[in-house]
Amino acid sequence: MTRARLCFFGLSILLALAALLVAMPAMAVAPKTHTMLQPDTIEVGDTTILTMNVSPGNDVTSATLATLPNGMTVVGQGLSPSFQISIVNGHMQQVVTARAQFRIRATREGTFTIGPASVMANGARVPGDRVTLKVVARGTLPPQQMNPLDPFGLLGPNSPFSDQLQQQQQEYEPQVPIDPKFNLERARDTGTFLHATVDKTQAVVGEQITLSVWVYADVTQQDPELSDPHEVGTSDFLRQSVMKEAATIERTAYAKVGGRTYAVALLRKYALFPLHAGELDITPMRIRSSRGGERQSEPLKVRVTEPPMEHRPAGYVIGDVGRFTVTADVTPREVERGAAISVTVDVTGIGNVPSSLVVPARPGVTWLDPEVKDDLHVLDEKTAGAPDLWGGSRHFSYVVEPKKEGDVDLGEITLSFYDPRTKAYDVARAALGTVHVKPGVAALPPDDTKLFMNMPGLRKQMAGMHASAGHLDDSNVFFGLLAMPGALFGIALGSRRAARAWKERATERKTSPVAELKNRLRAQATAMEGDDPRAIDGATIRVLEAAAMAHASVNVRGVGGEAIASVLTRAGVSSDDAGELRDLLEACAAARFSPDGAELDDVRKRAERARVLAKKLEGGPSAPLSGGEASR
Amino acid sequence: VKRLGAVVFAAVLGASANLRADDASESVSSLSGGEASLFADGVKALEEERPNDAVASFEALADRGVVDPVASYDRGLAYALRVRASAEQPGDLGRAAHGFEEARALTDDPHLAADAQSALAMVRGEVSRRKAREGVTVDMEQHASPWRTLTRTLAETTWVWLAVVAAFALGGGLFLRWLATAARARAGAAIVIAVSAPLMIVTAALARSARSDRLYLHEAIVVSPSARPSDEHGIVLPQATPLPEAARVEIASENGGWTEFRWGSLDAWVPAQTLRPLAKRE
Repeated sequence: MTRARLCFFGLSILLALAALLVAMPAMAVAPKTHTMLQPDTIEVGDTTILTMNVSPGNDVTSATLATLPNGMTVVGQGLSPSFQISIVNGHMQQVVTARAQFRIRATREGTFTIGPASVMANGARVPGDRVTLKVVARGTLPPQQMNPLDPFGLLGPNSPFSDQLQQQQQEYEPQVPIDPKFNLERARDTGTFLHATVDKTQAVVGEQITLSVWVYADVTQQDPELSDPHEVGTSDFLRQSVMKEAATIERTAYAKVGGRTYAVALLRKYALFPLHAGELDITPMRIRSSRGGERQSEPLKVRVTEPPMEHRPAGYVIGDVGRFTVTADVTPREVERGAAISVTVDVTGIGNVPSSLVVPARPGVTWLDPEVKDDLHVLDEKTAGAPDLWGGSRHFSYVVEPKKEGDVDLGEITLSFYDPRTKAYDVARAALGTVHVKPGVAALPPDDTKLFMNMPGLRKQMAGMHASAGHLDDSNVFFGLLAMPGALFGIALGSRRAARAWKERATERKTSPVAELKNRLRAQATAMEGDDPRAIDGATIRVLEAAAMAHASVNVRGVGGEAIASVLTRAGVSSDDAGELRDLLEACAAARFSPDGAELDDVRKRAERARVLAKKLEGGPSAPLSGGEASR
Repeated sequence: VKRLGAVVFAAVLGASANLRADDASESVSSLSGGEASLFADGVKALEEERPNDAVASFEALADRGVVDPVASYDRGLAYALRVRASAEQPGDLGRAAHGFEEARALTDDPHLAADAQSALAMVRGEVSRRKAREGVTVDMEQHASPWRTLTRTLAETTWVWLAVVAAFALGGGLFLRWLATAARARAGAAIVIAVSAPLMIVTAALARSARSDRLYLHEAIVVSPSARPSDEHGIVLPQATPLPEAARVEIASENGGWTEFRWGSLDAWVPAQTLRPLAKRE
């Protein structure tokens, strides 16, 4: 073998090895594909679904279908991941499969070769298989029985309702170790269901809450195929996944739920950091399961408060919760004016490490915005003291420009935080020390210190606020005072008018017939105490006249004889009383003017009768008689 | 009538004396040691030109619910110093203006009020200057309605007592008009009635307006350099210019992290964190 041949042979081997090395990774991750067409025979105008499953499908990004034959059109397509949990001999496995689907409509008869469909995975094209579709004339195929739950075949061949018979697997309880901490009293859904938990329902703003979403699968049924996941809603939180690999499901354990054995897998685990106080909602995670359609976890609530005000250090920023340490480095320590100093600050700890720091600003020292690098992750359980704790470090690189010469004290970086474990505040500090600034050749920067130069001086003594003075218009006294003068005037005016009216009424009362009757009765009583019959009769006559006036409104004075009775009767006085009054008047008049005078006893009897009659009339006249009756 | 007048006068005096007694008993208890220490730390940091530390101390004081015109004023100074020290953070000018506005509103000390006013003018001047650099002219002071302007010309208490005096003048005029027999006295009484009746109505209305402002008017300062007015759905109003930092706005309502505000003729929404409400005397 010549040297040239040897070289050529060696080069060929090297090239072959290089090609193998290049090809090996691709070979190592080459996913398996499975293509199917269902149904494979359709009538003109109908649709069929081409499904291409790629497993593992974690890295599948897109799917395409090669140019279709004439008479075929794609009327819909989709690409979705599905998670399959397999339980084989008591061991749980989980596979992520990418499923690309194409709905194809045929518009002419014939037998067609379709495909291949292909997907892009890890930047490489992965083709599927070709399939054959037979399209026959309309009305050729026997009528299909319509699925009442999917009448239009929209859910495709993997519809959760299409294989109910398959789901009715043999029900047996495998002998597997049960982890009681996952046991539940009852299943949230049949077959497969989601269950969400938080490690705490009360926290302060910025404190880590660990949210876990578990999938429970009944081991006596077919392995669940999970697809179309919709994440939990955590808009009020900063969310960090604490799972080793976010796209996978972690096998966990077996548990008893309502007496049945379930495989439990961890679907999601997040560290949540509340962004504000209040009753914060975590909305359910939703996922489509091949066992019974959509499943969703329970909605959760977390009560979040601000850390206590007591002992809160100045400069504390709400949300800085955890345990942190701060270290800083300043280089160089001696610079010329105008040169830059590098200040690096590392914040390390457990919790949501603050994304910004308050730098010790001083006049004559300019701090530029920092460059920030993160190294945040789930902390090791041994070092953090508890599992699933989020933390790490943030590295802040500042460029600082001193603008004045001499020794410049840069101050210190401080970070106040609240430690929920000890329920106390703490302050992490890193002193930056002094930098010596030498005179430099750089021109002085614009004198920005002129800004606010004439600002008034500070005050060193608090004013000692007092509660605002009581306001008169906050009480009804104000309205009382407003209304009082007018009201007093009104009262005075009204009182005067009332007094006047009362006076007038009193005067009226004095001259009324009833008052007159009372006066005459009193006069008659006085006359009766004496021995003068004429005087008594006179008083009796006046009583009778007044009684007629007061109670029947009839003035009988000057009316004589029968006319008195007639007038009184018309006025409503009973005929007996009218007759009695007439008789008494006549008797009194006769006796009064008799030359012989009258017996005192008779006179008194008449007087008594007159008083009785007056009393009787006081009861009011009876209903007045009609004109005819009065005249009779 | 004389006796009645004496009774009324005694009642007024009694009511007034009662209110005074209440005022005296309502003074707030003195600050705790921690709060006094925070104030002292803030002042010391300001003297040593450490604005961040000063801001931290005065903000901690505010977080503890301490409402004091001097603390507000010094807080404004701390933010202004931070701007001056080239360590400005977005919103510092607005927060400085907030401190000065609050001090001006809370203080009874005319010197402090004048200093706060002067500092406020400087801060707003700086905001205007920056806006002018961007080619935007802003009017920081949006004028209130004539009625509100009139209401603010005198203190609420003054309007109250003016209304009361007018009411008594009206009452006196009515009595005089009623009782006097001399024509000149009756004419004078008529004039008193004609003047005092509308005066009482107007001053009482102004007193009520001032009270309404005191109880229900909530104002805030824009503490963001980029507060863009939006509609109630959070969509930025295309024709509205951004609110200038340090502007004083009236809060109309709050809903889900958004605040409805009025600024001049503009009625819009901004994220709640872009406004900082002004403390009021309680």
